Amino acid sequence: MEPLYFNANDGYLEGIVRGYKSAILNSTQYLNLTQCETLDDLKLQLSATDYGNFLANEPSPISTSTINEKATQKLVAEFKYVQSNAVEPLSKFMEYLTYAYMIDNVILLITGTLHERDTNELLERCHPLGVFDSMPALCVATNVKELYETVMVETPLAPYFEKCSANDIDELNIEIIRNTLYKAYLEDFYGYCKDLGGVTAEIMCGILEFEADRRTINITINSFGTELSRYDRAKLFPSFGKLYPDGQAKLERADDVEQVKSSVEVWAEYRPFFDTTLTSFGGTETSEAKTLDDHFFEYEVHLNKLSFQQQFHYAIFYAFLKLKEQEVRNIVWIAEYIQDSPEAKNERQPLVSEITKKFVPNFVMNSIESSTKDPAKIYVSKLKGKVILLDNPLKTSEEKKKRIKLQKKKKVKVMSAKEKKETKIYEIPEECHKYDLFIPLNELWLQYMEELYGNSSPAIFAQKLLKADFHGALFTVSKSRCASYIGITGINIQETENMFKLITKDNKLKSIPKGHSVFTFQLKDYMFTLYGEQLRFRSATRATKKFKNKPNIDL
Amino acid sequence: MASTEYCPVYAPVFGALGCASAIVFACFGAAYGTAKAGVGLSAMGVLRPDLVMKAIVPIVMAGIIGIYGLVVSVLISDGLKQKMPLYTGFIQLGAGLSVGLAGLAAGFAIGVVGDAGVRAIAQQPRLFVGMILILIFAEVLGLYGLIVGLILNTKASGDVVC
Repeated sequence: MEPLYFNANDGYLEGIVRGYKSAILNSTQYLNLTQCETLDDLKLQLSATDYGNFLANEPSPISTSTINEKATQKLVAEFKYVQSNAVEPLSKFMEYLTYAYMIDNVILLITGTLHERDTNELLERCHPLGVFDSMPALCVATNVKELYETVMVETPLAPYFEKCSANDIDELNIEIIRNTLYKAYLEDFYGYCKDLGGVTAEIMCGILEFEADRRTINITINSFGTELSRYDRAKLFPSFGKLYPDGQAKLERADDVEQVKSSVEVWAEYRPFFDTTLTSFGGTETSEAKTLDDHFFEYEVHLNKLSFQQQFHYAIFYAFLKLKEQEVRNIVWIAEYIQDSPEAKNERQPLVSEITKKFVPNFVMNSIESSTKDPAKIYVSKLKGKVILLDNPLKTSEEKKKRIKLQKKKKVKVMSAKEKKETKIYEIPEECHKYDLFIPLNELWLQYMEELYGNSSPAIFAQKLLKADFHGALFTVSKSRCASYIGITGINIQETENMFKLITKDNKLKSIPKGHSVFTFQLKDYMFTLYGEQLRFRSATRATKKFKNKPNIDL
Repeated sequence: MASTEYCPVYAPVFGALGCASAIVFACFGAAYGTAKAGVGLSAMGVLRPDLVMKAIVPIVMAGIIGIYGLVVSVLISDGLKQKMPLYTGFIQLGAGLSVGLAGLAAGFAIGVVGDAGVRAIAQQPRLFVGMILILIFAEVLGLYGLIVGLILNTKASGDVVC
């Protein structure tokens, strides 16, 4: 029933956040950004987006750190606007979102103090979303207990510090402290979202579970080769998520990435993350496989995007923050690439030997078949320094098709019925249409039947008969739908799926269809009847066929 | 026309209540179904406009629930008279409540399933058949209410004497 009362308090803010979300850069805009050659170009392109003139007052040349700073400032401004207009319980929810940044800031300040950096400089580097009042006082503390008692106890992070048992702040412990705090925060946030219930709980719990699993996997992989013991590693895993508790138990014992992969593969969503084959980024093929981090980012963005499909819940506020953060990261990555690329371009050019330098221009110029223009001019204007595809791309795809065709498994070629008829292998030649020729076969068959009969009774033998071979049996057609078949007696020399081929005493080959006919043969004072309609199988197939009891077996 | 023992003055109260509750509750259900499924469709339709016509199905089914309520309401109103047996009034109330509340339940179910189903179809179009099956089962709850309402209504004007 959220549609009924959600909009009273939070409808305006949901509208605002959806507006912010629709201003997030899409793929065409990213394409434009990637094609920029300088950072000024980038600034120009960004001014056409929702970012507008956020870099207007910066002196050129701009640096990537400025871009990062300004973009983050815009994000913070939007977030703070939403937060200031929020009422309970949305305001509490948004506070939770800021705790993560607070943890980062606290750790930054502690580390900085440890390395004896200037306090003001450190404060400037703090993330603006995680600012709280007593931050400068953090720089005074030297161990966690002092930290807690003097400073943290008034901040919202107080309950998370209780879980911390490290006493001295030094290099190794800082990371452990950070991870312990973050674990406590995640568990608290998860519990809070669950209490909120409804759609918010549904979506947020899904996203937070993925976050927990991601941290678990990252902690495991990062702890390979460090002094972190398995027990300590396990203490840092959040106690919820898909990997909790079985996956986490397995990961605790893992020693390398392969073991991690095999432990995590059970969960279908995480299986493709470890796939190291070449795939495409956004539809274009790349020369590097996606890393695990890339997969994590993609999946996180996918979950965040999905949250916008439902209305009347708080998860869109979280999702918006994360998506905007990712956008800022993307812009900074693009900016760094643009900044680095001229040097990178020079580095990437292969070392050209002297001989090549002399040979290539002459060769190319000689190859140019142009009567009107000077080859040298053509070479200099159109060819020098350019990358040219020698192969016609369309052709290679044909070659690929051929290759694939050749590699296809060769199917066994079966002859069609027409072909079989043409080769006449199943026909019995005229010379063999002699009754006397097949009398020995009949005797052989009688011996075979005697063996088969053994000592059993006719009833049991009848069962065996169903699987027996009939080549050489002396059949008589006792009943048939077609009157002309009745009475034909002969030795069965060929049995196909639907026919018995009998050779009669006057050397005639009669082909009797099995259907709608009843055959009889005599064996040892017993007369056996075969209902042809039920035996319409190839003799080979008949051997394996299970015959059911039928109430009415007649024609 | 004095009121007799079997046809008191206040008999039409129950009949009118039945008529009103049939349409009112059924429309509550239909409204909830339309709203919830409609929100999901609007969200999904932004990214997959080609699937919008397929995703209209939950909303149509929610509308049908309203029609059930309308049908029973019209039939009940046909049987309302000034001098009618109390028995008729009671039966009409029963008929109206049965279709109304059953329609309310069906509308709720269609709304929730339609919302989730429509969003899921955007990601996995093969779920369409599954969603339709679930919606049919939800819709049929309203149909049961309609059947009971119609049966009761025919009984209302049986051989009654004042």
